[in-house]
Amino acid sequence: MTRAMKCISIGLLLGTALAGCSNGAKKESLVEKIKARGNLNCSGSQGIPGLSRPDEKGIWRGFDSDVCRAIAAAILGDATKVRFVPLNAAQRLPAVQTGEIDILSRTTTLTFTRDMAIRFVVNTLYDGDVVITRKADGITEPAKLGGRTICMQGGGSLVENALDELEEKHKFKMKRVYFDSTITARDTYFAGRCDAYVTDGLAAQSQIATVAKNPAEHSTMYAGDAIEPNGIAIPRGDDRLFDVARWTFNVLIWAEKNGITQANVDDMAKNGDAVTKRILGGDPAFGRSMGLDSKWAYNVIKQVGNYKEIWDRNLGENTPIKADRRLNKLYSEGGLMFPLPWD
Amino acid sequence: MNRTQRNLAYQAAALLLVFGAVALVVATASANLADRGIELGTEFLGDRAGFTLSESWLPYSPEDSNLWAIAAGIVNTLVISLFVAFFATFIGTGLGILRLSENALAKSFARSWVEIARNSPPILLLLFLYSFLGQVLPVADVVEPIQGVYLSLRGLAIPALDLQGMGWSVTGGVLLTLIGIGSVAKATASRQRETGLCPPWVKWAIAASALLWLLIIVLLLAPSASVELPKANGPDIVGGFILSPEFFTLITGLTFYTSGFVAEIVRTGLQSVTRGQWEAAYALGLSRGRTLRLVVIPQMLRVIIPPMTSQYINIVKNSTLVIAIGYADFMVVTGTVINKTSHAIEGTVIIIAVYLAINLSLSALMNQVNRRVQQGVG
Repeated sequence: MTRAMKCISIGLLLGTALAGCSNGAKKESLVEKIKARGNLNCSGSQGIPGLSRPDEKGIWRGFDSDVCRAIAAAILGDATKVRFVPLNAAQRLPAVQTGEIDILSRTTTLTFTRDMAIRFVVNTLYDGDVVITRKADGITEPAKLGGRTICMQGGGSLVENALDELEEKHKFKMKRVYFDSTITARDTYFAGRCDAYVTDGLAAQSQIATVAKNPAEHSTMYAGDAIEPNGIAIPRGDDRLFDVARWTFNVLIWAEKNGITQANVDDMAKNGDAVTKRILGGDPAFGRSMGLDSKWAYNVIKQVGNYKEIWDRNLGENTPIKADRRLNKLYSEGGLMFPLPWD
Repeated sequence: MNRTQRNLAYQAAALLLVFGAVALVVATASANLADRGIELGTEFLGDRAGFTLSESWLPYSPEDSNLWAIAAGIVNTLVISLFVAFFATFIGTGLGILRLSENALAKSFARSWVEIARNSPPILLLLFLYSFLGQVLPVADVVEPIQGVYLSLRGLAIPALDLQGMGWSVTGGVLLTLIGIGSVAKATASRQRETGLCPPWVKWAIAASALLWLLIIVLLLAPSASVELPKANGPDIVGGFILSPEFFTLITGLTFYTSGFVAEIVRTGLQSVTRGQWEAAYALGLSRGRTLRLVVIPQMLRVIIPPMTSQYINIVKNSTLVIAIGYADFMVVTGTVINKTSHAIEGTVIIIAVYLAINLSLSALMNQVNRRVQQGVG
């Protein structure tokens, strides 16, 4: 036996022994780890106003950020205990897989391929793909995009599928210029490098409203009729976290449906109907089944508000974005959102 | 226990530690992978890629496999690196010589170039240059500085020569011609060493190949080839060969950055050749040019090839910065594949393996060159 072979066999022996001990540990849910750690690690985008962007004080603002806060309120009882990790499109899935973040809430469309890699919990926003163009160029419909230059985020963003479909449908080619950040792509479009900038609908509205020098110069159009269901996602194989994320989001919709708001939640917890009282802390069984405090749903509403409040605060009429809720209205108002029953 | 035994024991202990650490890492990693339900495999490489590349030197479409997309990315990286290595060597050498010039203006020009270039972070240079182009290039309309050449923020468009599919044979032909002339020059040099006479073979070879190419152009290429002129369409440019601002920024930015280092390497190389060598060459009646070419540069090469190897390797590594401004290099493409297929670990292994392979072959090649240079002088 040569010396090298000896060394290798020793190494292998040692390796097997160590592998044996480390496999013995029992799998713990992220919910327990989040409690022990005292904060929730959640995704941030690279800065999309209305969805997730730090404000001038460095506090993350936006719809996606508030969804993170709701989950932190449910698990930790404190909506401020969220650490936001800014990620680009290519980083976000590996960040979930490697455990860098606990919850992905960052305009991520649910697709089959992605659902095989991470676990999508629930759709929080229904969006579409929007093309921004300059009014002066006269590109009034997608059919006029042939031969035009389009700025976009690379790295496998889903808006690319919408462009592929357009090219196939109209038998033309577009010149695509990719950037690693949607922010660079946007700024490059605004600088005049491209005729169009393509991104998610809500992001497009917020970019025009808050970043464009003269919002009136730009117009938007849907690239196709595809719906982009944006959801929250977690690592695979964590049922406990799945429960917490799904039912926390359900609290937001349920509260809107039943008119429970940040302002009246205290009153509702005392004087609401039987179901409302049970969910807002009267029946500890809801929280206990998920390993949470009995006040978990109350904390979510009290600290973050219901779905409508989150929407209005970040994207609604009182913000520069003034986004149309469209498909994100409650089913009773013509949208796709409805609460799941509790019992 | 004597000293040999003791040393053996130390080495064994050190080896055990290293293997133990590696084994621990592997064990923890595989446990964590199993924990998170991540499966490893290479099947995804054969799957449909499904994304487009903004620029590709290989023929590529979204219908191709992930593997082919990665290959296209590797070629894009190599093309960028080759361009940068070529220009940086050329410009850097010039600057290195200027640094030693007697002319104060030339000297301080070269010096400020070198200091700015090598003291700026390369990513900053790229971003600065890119936004600078965005400020100075015409946005709203296209300018035509020379007939048939168009310039705007969309790029620099020049008339393209359409060779009707003969492009590769023409490129090969040009390369063959250059190799031919090179070997004639080599034969001339060895003849001169043997006989002391310098036959005019090189001139004949150049004249003969020029005549040959004239015939090829007139008889073969001219009848079938056509020139595609770019056209302005609003702010856009259609047709012709378009040099995108992204590609231009990359080449210029990385060349500028690397040229600073190359200049310093060339300067030290020149200074390492003692004054006496110059004086001896002059005393033999050699001109300044011949002194440089025959006496100084061969000695300088012995000194500069090893640090130049590091610079070329740095170019390949720095080319990953292109991600910031939208060029589809190997890193970008593999990142996209990782994002689409979620095979992050395999993708990362591929990234490491490819850069290792590129840089190891590069350094093997440069070592070969180094060996020849060392022998050539000794």
